Amino acid sequence: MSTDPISRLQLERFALGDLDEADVARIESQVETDPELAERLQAVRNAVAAAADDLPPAPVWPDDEAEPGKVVRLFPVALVASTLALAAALVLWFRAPPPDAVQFRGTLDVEVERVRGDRAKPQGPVVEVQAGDRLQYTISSDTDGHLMVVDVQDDGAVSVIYDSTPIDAHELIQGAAQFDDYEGSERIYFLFDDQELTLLHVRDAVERAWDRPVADLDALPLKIEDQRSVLVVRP
Amino acid sequence: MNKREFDDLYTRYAPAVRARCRAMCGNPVDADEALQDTFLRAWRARRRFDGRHPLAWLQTIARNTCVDLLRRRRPWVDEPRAWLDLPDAPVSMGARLDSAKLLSGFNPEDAAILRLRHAEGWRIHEIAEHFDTSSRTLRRRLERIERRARAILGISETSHVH
Repeated sequence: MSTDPISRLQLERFALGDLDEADVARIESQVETDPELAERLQAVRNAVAAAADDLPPAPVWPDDEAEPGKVVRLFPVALVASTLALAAALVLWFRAPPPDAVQFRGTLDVEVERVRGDRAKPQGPVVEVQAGDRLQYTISSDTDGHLMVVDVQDDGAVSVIYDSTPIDAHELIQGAAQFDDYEGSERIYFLFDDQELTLLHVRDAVERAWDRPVADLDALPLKIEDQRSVLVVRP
Repeated sequence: MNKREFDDLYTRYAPAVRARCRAMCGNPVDADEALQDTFLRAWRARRRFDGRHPLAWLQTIARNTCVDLLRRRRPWVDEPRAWLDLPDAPVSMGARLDSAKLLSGFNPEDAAILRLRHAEGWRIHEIAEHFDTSSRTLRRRLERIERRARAILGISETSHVH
């Protein structure tokens, strides 16, 4: 075997006919004597040929004066749908209640900061942390109710950060959680209802969502007035 | 480059870019979204491109685009439990669960490395090239990822890793 293996990029360029004659001859001669290289080349050819089937049309290149992000795409229907779903998910995170709730009377306002050393940084729906970081939250609601904050790890473990507690409308609730050296991802849910919440409710909801990773589980399947969540990941 | 030249670039290189997106993302919807995003990012960055090695340029953008997309972690279409040599073949629902568990247990790059190695059969040096690192570093990283994958899937250390 060669001590300087031919790169995958070179094989892709070979498969596309993008190399000059000298490089083509070099690869062809090596392929003849190196079965592993021949196998790799065939795998690349197969992958590129399969990808050439039903290739989506090129995007419509936006004009230079167009605003960044307002680009026009020629997406297949499925891709348009997934884009709309993402937009809907973002709206949900900021405003909307869970889809299976019957009536919505109260909503939560949640602000989250990551504290590393002496620095606090406001966070969005995804928080990147390392061991020792703290997540600091400030919560208020527009009606009286019960608040609970729980953590669900990707291995299914559930723990309570802030046990179910009655809160008054517009009362500011502040708290924090510190992260240990757990290597997976987890999601922190801020749950709000007019009834007291229990860990049993949360565990039952996690069980019912057994087939969804926490990364995709923006909302627990709970019939409650409102909930928000943040995904915690380790880069 | 103007729009016509970018159309030509797409026609010529999109199959190779799409192939890598499929390998990294593990499901066709994400792969095609990554393909479109890659070329739109390239279009916006075209003035900074010196015109040499367009495929290398596009594949670097594709890699970063796929990593961004993997943060959403849609389940893979393949069966990760089989990669780690578990004796009992999983039923499809179990496999999907394993895929989901693995994806949520790793950062996007580690998830992609695991998939490129075990689902796509890429060589260590090919994955290292893809992530712009050395084979030695990549090998160590892969060993750590495989250990963690085994822990997530509940597979003992004594089983053989492909």
